[in-house]
This record gives sequence, C-alpha cells and structure tokens, in this order.
Amino acid sequence: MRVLRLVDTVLTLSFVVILTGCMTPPKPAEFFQPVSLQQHQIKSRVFETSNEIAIMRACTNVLMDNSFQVYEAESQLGWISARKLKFIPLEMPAPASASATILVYPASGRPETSIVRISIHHVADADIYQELFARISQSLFVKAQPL
Amino acid sequence: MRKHLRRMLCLFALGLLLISVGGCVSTQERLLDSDTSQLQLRSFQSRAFDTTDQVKTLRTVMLTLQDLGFILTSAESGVGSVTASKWNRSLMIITVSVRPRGETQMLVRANCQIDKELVNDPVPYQMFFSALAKAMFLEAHEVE
Repeated sequence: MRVLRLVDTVLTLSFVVILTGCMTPPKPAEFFQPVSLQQHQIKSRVFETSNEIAIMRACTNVLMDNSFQVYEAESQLGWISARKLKFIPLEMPAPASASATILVYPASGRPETSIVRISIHHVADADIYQELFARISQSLFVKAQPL
Repeated sequence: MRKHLRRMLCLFALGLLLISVGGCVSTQERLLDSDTSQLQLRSFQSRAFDTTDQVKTLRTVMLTLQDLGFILTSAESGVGSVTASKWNRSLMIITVSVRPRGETQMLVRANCQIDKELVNDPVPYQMFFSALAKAMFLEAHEVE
C-alpha cells in the first residue's frame, strides 16, 4: 500500500515537472520585434529648437515634478534615465515602479528642430505621454508637434 | 506476481521522473555551445558601418534599442558603450559597443544574454543589425 502511494506521488511529481518545467522560454529573436508605428508616434514629439540641453533640462524638471528619480543623464548622447519607485495616483497613473528613458536627438532633414522620445516601461497609455509632452512644452515655452 | 508488478511500477515512475527533469535541456543548444567558436560568435555580433561619427552611431544604436522596446540602463559616449534590457518572460540584456575601425568605418558589436546565458543564435543579432542599418540609412557590412 505504502509503495503504491509512493508511486502515485512520484507520478504526480513527474507530470507537474513535465507541465511546468518544459514551458518553452522565449526565443532570442522574439526580443527584436519592432514596436508598432502607432506606439512610436505616441511616444515622440518634435520641438522647434535645436537646444538639446534646454530640452533635457525641461524633461528633467517634468520628471522630477512627477516624483521620478533621475539615475543617469548623458548630454552628449541626449539621454536621460529615470525611475519612479512609488505609485502616486494624483500625479501620474504609473505602475508601482516605472523606468523611463528619454532620448533627445536632431530631426533629420529639419534644421533647428529636435525630436524627444519618451519610453516608460509597461506604460502604453497615449494620454500619459500626451500629458508629459504638454508639460515639457510648457516648461520649454516651445510647442510640441506630432512626428 | 504482485511484488513484481509493484517493482515494475516503481521503475516506470522513476524513469518518467528522470525523463521529465532531464528532457528539458535542449540537445541542439548544447551542440551550439560546443561548436560555436569565438571567431564565429564575434562575426555574428559585429558589423561595420561606413561612418566616422561615433556619437551619431551610438545615438542611433540607442534609438534602435528603444524602438525595439528595450530600456536603456547605461550609456557612455567616451567608451562608446550602451547597455539595455528587455523583459519578455525572461530578461534579455544587450550591450553594444561602438569603436572606430580603420579611418573610414565604425565597428558596432552587440552582445546578448538571456537570463545570464550568452545568446549564440545568429538570428537575433541579424535582426538587431537589420533594424540598426535602417535607422543609420547605411549598409551593415559583415566583418571577419
């Protein structure tokens, strides 16, 4: 009787391992699927200025106004990395921890203009990006235009 | 007879457990591990672009990674390196370095890891360089 119970346990364990252990991990190529054009447009705006430092300062202010901590910034690359650790619903409906990346770069073929691209991990809501760009625009006194 | 049946059942159950635990390791992956030489891996991971602008190349690498949904975690223009990560059931970390190659080219090398395992498969590297070449408006030359 005891042996049968043991066999039963081992069989159950085997099936559990088969079902859970062999769940295929994602293929490396799956990580390189491009983001849709719509997402690209939601997360980017054109500003009629080539002053990247001024744009980066405005972005930093807006991030800080919304309780993000700026972890790294590289002016030569036009890059800001920030993170918001605590969820503050009144200011921004972001998840409990949100990583934000901002890139500022010259718009090709359009002199005296720059493109700002914001990406917040796990946040795809267009309204959030719209609001962020509006605040950057206010801080910079330059209108944000869609791509 | 009953004793014999019990023993057979025990052996079957143990065999099934061993197969279920050991069977998940992909033989193909193991073969790739042993067969892929350092030189071959470096060739998958590297492309040369006809430009001398290191900062512009780095910026394009960063834009490409962001387009692909990666979060940039570090970047340094002096050294010419960018690191980014992406979560998709597993964590992928990619490091890309940009350095001059001769007097007319920049060499871009990417290194991908999934859950701390080096990616040996050439396909994801090809996909990355294809996206980068489009963003650079330049051809990605294979290097030896």
